[in-house]
Amino acid sequence: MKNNCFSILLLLLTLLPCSLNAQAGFSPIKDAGSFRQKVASASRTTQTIESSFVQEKIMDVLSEKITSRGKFYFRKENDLRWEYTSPVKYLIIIHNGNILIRDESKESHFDARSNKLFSEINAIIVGSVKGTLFEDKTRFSSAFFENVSRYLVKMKPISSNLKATLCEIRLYIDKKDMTVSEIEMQEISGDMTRIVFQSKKINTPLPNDIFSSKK
Amino acid sequence: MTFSVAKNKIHIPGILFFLLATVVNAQQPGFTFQQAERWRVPFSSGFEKALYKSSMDIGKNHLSGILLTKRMNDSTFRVVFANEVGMTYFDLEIRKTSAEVKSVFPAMDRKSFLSVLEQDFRMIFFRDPTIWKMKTTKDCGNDSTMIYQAQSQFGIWNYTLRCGSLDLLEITSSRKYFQKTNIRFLYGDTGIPAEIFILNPNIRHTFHLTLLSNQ
Repeated sequence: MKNNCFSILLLLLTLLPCSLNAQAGFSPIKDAGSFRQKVASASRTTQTIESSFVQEKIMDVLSEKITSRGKFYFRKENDLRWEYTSPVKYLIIIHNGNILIRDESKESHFDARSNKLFSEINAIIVGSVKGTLFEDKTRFSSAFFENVSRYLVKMKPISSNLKATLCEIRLYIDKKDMTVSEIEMQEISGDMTRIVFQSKKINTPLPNDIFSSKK
Repeated sequence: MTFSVAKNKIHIPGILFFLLATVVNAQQPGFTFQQAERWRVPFSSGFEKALYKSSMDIGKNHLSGILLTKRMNDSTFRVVFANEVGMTYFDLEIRKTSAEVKSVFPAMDRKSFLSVLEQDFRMIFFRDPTIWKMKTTKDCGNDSTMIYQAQSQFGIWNYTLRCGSLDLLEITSSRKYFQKTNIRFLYGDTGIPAEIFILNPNIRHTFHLTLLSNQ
């Protein structure tokens, strides 16, 4: 009995970091089907997205925050440029099924289709940006919420790979344009990373060289 | 006060062990801890926290990101290495003679790798309190550097100091049969290392840290 109580306490303590960041002001969506249709429809009409972003890695235990900034570009179907400009330079380009990662000392190329890990990374990044990640039922189980201005999709990983590091990914979707305005990644450790998109431009033409490693 | 013969028998090996341990740990004649106090530790008492741009190679794997180091109290530092996207690779608590892994990315959760990392950071943050013998192997003379060789419970280490300021420039393990761990420091004008190079050839590991901020 004592052992059982101890196990339950341990389990609760383990789960605590995942549940500390409950989102106030959001209530469950009554008609999830309609929400899904709106996202699918917006995804069909969105050809390009260009945006700045501010990323904060929040370490509650250390009372510290690391802030990064950058630009991101998305072009239908799956082209993406995700570029950090400060405090370090870091670039991810996904184009024609290839992934390029460039940090300040090295450039690496991967074929997203032939590598399971990078195929997963590709699907998560592009799905997050498009707002359709929650439809990926092989990787996540999702719950839907809303407030006056935004929808919130809470996704819990299913695959053991993701579960080992992530408790939850939260996508915040603007009701006015049905695009993702914020992403939160809650780690098992209790750390949380929040990415807020700013100055979004939807459907403005993006030149090809944005998705080239040479730019 | 009466002790049974049986009880006395039980205590004899304990007393012998205690005496033996005392002999083994005794400082060598002529050695004073003032010698060890002579060099300036890279992160001295006024240090609070710093962010480093980081690049790590382990075997064929290359990782980059940001490393946060923070003094928690007089005898504890935290070291958090996260990738640019915010996911934590490892979070270590480093104490003078021990360390604790707070969290680690599953693929890096290898005891051999983590114990090497813990040792490296312990050498960086603290003057080894278990040093029991020291000798000068190179004097300043006309040169700009001097070298102490120290023996402690963590092995034999060579400490290279800058003559005059007594800044710690390099720590190298002194081993006959293994390749040598090497930690080098470059200083700027902030009082803490502007760059740190860590080399652990036994596990094909290099770690390069470049200071971003210490605010």
